[in-house]
Amino acid sequence: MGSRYELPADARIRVLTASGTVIVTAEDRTDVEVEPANRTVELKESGSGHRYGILDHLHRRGRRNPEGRRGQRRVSDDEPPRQSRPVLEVKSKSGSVEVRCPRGTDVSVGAISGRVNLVGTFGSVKVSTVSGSIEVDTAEGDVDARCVSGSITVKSCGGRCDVTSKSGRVRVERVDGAAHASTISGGVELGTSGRGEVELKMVSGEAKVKVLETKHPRVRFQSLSGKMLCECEQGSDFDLKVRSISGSLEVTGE
Amino acid sequence: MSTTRTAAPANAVQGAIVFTDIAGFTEFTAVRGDEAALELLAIQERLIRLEMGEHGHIVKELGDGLMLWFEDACQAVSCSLAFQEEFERRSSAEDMPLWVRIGIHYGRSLKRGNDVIGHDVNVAARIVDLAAPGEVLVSEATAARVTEDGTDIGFEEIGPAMMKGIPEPVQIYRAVRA
Repeated sequence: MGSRYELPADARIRVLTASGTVIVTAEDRTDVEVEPANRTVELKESGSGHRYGILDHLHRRGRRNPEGRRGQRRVSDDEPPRQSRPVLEVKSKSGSVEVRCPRGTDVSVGAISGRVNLVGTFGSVKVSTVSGSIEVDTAEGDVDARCVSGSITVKSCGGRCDVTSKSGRVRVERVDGAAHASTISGGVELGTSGRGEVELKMVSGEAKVKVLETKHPRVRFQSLSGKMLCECEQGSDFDLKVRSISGSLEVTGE
Repeated sequence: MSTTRTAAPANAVQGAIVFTDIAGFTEFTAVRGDEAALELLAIQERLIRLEMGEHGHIVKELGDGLMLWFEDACQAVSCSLAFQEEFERRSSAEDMPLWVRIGIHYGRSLKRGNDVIGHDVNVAARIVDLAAPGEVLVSEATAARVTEDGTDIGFEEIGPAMMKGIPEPVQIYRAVRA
């Protein structure tokens, strides 16, 4: 039995750890349970914790186009400024930590080493690790997952998906928004519903893209020595842009 | 981010430290050869010098990357975005994959000859490790110093990052053109 905490409305969860496995489970509940109970847990009034309001400022300026094309952003004048959101921060120096939270919660995790596993359905997800694999079940919103060395797996992302691993395999089973994935040494496997652009950069690994719905991509493949095999009818439903040094590309349809 | 400090030594400087790193440089060299690799490095440096002008300077070369220093955080971010736009243009037009990752942190460092060292330099070096090719990642300390008026710079929150040898988490943002 771990320690239990109330989660204020609109609050998100942040887990920080130097080493050890992190498991966050989103389930039918209203509070948050942290195990083991001796982890430092603190409710902070704003995202940054020490500079109240900066996230508000940054978010207003940084609201991007939901379609997700990098560098093209749309800021609506009638959108109200976003309020600073409370953050329940769980800190652990070493050892495994397990957090149970309500379904749909926005979660961010920062870790140095150790596996990060997000089980269940979340809102938005942001994970960074130095070494250690990342696994995300389902995010209804955006996913940003990045690691220096380690593999990344995202089962389902309802929004924009950004995944980056310097050395490790990247696998996104389904993304409904735009997707940007990159690896230096490691392959990329990605399933897209074809509703947002897909941009992949690999140095030497292979890319496999599966179009999950009846959509026809406009494929652009640029490589110094890699080959492309496209078994999917091309069209103009969405852009699929893949660049590699020596990696190959395979595109298949539903 | 700052460590515990007393009075600033005479060789202390406050500014933005920028690290660049070409992704896939080793593989590019293997496929295209040493001469092409040298040319790629020369293109990177030439484009950076051109865009940077007098706003910053190259501290040193680091294999396939560079360490830059800017007095002004806003100029550091703005120039870095301009670097990426130019790298992207060149990469798309030619067989020169200038896939550059950029990390920026604003803080204090100590001059040591032409070099600068310190905790904040180390933080900047860790940030670039998390960047994807084509991205400009900045610390919260950097983003907070980018003034709102007169710039077309925006930020997307990436989240907290724990880094080897850095005791406190660093909030990371992706810099983009607003």
